[in-house]
Amino acid sequence: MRNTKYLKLLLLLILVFSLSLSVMAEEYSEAPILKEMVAEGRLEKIGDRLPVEPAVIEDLLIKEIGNYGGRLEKGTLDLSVTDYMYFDQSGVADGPMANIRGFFAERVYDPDKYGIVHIPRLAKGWEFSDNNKEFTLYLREGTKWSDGELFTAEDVKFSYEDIILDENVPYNSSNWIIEGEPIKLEIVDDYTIKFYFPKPMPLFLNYLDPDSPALALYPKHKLENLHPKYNPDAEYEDLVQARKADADFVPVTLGPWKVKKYVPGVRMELERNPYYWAVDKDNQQLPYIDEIYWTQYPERSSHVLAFMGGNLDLLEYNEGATDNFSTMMQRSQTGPFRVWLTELREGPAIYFNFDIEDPNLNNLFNNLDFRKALSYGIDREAMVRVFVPGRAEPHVRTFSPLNPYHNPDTVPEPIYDVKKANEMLDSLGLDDVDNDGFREFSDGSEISLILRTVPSRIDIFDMVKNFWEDIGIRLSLDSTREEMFYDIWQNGEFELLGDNGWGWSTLPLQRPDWWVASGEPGEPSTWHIVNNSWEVAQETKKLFDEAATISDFQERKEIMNRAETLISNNYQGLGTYATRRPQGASNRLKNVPIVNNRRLTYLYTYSYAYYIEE
Amino acid sequence: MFAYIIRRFIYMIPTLILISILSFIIIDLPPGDYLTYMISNLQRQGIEVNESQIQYYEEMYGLNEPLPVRYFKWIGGIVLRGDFGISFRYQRSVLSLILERLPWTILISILSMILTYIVAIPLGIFSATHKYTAGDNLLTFISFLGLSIPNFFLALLLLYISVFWFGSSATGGLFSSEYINASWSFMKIIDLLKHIWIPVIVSSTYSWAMYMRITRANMLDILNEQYIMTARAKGLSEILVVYKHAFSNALPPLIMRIGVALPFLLQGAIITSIIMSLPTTGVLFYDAINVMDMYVIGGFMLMIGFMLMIGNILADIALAMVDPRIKYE
Repeated sequence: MRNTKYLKLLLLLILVFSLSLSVMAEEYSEAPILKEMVAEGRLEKIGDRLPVEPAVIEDLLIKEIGNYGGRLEKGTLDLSVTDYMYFDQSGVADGPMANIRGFFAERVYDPDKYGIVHIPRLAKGWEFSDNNKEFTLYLREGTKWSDGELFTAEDVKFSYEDIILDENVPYNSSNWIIEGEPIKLEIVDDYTIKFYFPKPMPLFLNYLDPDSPALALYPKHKLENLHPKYNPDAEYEDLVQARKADADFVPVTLGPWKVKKYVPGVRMELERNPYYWAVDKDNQQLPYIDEIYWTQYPERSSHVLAFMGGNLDLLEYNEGATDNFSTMMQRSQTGPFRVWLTELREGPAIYFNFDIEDPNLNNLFNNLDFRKALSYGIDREAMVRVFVPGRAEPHVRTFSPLNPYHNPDTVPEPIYDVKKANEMLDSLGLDDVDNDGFREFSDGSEISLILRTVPSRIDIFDMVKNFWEDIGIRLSLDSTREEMFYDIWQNGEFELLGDNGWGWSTLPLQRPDWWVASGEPGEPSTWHIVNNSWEVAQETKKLFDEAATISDFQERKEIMNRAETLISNNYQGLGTYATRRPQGASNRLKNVPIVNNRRLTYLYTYSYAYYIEE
Repeated sequence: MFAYIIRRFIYMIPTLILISILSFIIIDLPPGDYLTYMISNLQRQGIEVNESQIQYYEEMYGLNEPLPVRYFKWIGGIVLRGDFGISFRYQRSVLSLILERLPWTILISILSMILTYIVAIPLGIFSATHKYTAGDNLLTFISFLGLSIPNFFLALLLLYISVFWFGSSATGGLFSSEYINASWSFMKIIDLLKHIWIPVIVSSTYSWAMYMRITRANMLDILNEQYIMTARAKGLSEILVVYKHAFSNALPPLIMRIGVALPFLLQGAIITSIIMSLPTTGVLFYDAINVMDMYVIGGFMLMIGFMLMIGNILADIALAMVDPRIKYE
């Protein structure tokens, strides 16, 4: 009798529990068009589409809870997406092509403002072992690809072992090989993965960030049939060809958007991914917007005109906003859009070829006083007034001020002092022997430097050329087509190089090659701006390597401060100024992060949180 | 006549071969290729590319082979299979890319050609028959303006006016986004007309101004001929004198121009299309040159060369029909 009572109670409890579970599953709400599809039986119920614990976006960036519907219109200067996501290195970065990739690549986690605290996203969480040689990643149970298939540890393993590490697939896996040994991956269960490192790697999370080497994720269920490892009849060629952005080909994604239609070089239509695994604080499934149309505007001016006319919702700095900043500011008073400036980003910089064969130049470039004198000879304030009035600050080459490793007290001031520069050059024995206003080497031959740059930056460095006339340094400019620039850089075919002040967009430890030599001594350096035989570069490289193994932030910060001090006080490159870049959004588009303080943030990155209010 | 046409077609073959070889060599002349573009693009985005990847792509695109080998593979594909190669950039066949854009290109080109003739010929005749009057001077002024105003500037100006003065939303493409995927309807055609007028006006401005000048000059020459004086002396009406006797003899130079205008159909108004973001073949060509997408450039040059020659043959035939003095043996 007593027993049956307990049994009844237990049954009741189970009933209540299961009821409450089903109620919980009902709690999530979805977009009206998806609701319709569910009602018509064309789509699973929301509870079956979302993971057991969906990612809740409680970001600072989602200021308001949005409403569903609408279409975001986006223009781009170049709409040539050849590979939707397969074999793409990652969802990285700059340039209009990436504007679209940004929608597909998904973050495993979301780095915060300074990239130090990491907010879980696609992953539920993670754990480092005490010695930082093991890393466990927990995925969200029930996360689904945009075609409704489950996303599990198998997909991660496939992406890593059969795409990234497979030598027959063109993928740059060098970052995953540590001291000659690849990082090992092991599946614990469907939703738990373990990574084993050959050495302590407390900064491994950087590898999961789309801003850096990145673990791009590929759908195993779509690709395994094309992989020779799983299907003996398949060829690697088929696997690579699978990325082709064909009109009929619908890529599978984990991102908030999936492709509906694509006309190469003309238009791409995206629609919401009904299986997107994130919700807002009110348990509404994201994204809010139904569709995004990308249209190619090959010409900047008409792109900006279309934006100002209210036809486009977003305008990125490199899509014409920078060139038309003042007009846009004026028009935004009355127009249907708003414009704002980002935090400081890197401006132009000059780099030395420390490897140069000419012994005279080699001596000069490797002499700190010479580099310092050149830096003193640049009137950065004047450059700011001419090129970017009101939205730039002079600086020497340092880490980004937004960077936690940056220490403003130990970096030199950007000084303009012609007298001092002349004194320093005089003391180096570089006198103007033939009285033509320009200095000569001690052997009597003339100092004539050539700076190579790209056409779009020629005005900027032309100004430097004029400044250096005052300190008796003859500079000539040589502009090269943008496409050839990288070759010149890589092969060290330059004396001075004028380009962007690279390195501000990511954390220095994420992309050390922008700051220190990447190869072994004797090998050509990846970026050639810093050279292996150069002692300071060796020393900074040691500091970088050391910092990468330290898990304590304060301790790491100290070492990185030392590296920055070395880099900036040695004038490894000559920074000029840092600028704020304009961005714009239409007034009807809400939740756009106005204070753009992330490291590498592009407007579309948070498209899942945008909503439209007419 | 028939034998002549056949002969002309046979002559086309060596010319086309020459065009294809020349265009292939020219494409290859500047340093670098599509791969250089691709790698530098990735580098700019902060993506590292390693040697094995470069090698892989070189093999995949066949860029590691010497120029003659690439040429024969390409031309062989065209002759044997009608395959113009693939576009590196879009990873699709060149032919399908061009065909996809051809209808709109031809529509815009034909509309602007029609506009050109409708405007140029009557105004040219008016100008000639009213020499040095206020009307002639005004038209001369306008036509010089049309000749000298750059296309890109006019396109931007019209865009600016339509956006900020009339609040139009027609800034890019041929349709507003709500009509892009809609099926054809009256409203969709209206929407098309709202968008298409700017490119048509812009791309025809230069040509109508020029044709007007040509018509005027020809007419002036002919109106001074003795047979015109004879016709007037006979007491023929002015309309008959101008249109039957003078104008029909002013036509041949205009017809010769049509021959040159045929490749324009394919090429579209490149600059106008770029500024107005129109899906024409011209934009494709321009982009391909920028990124050295060589099979697109080669295929396009070949097609333009072909159209030019066909245009010339057609013009010659038309000329023979209009002008009884011309006889082809």
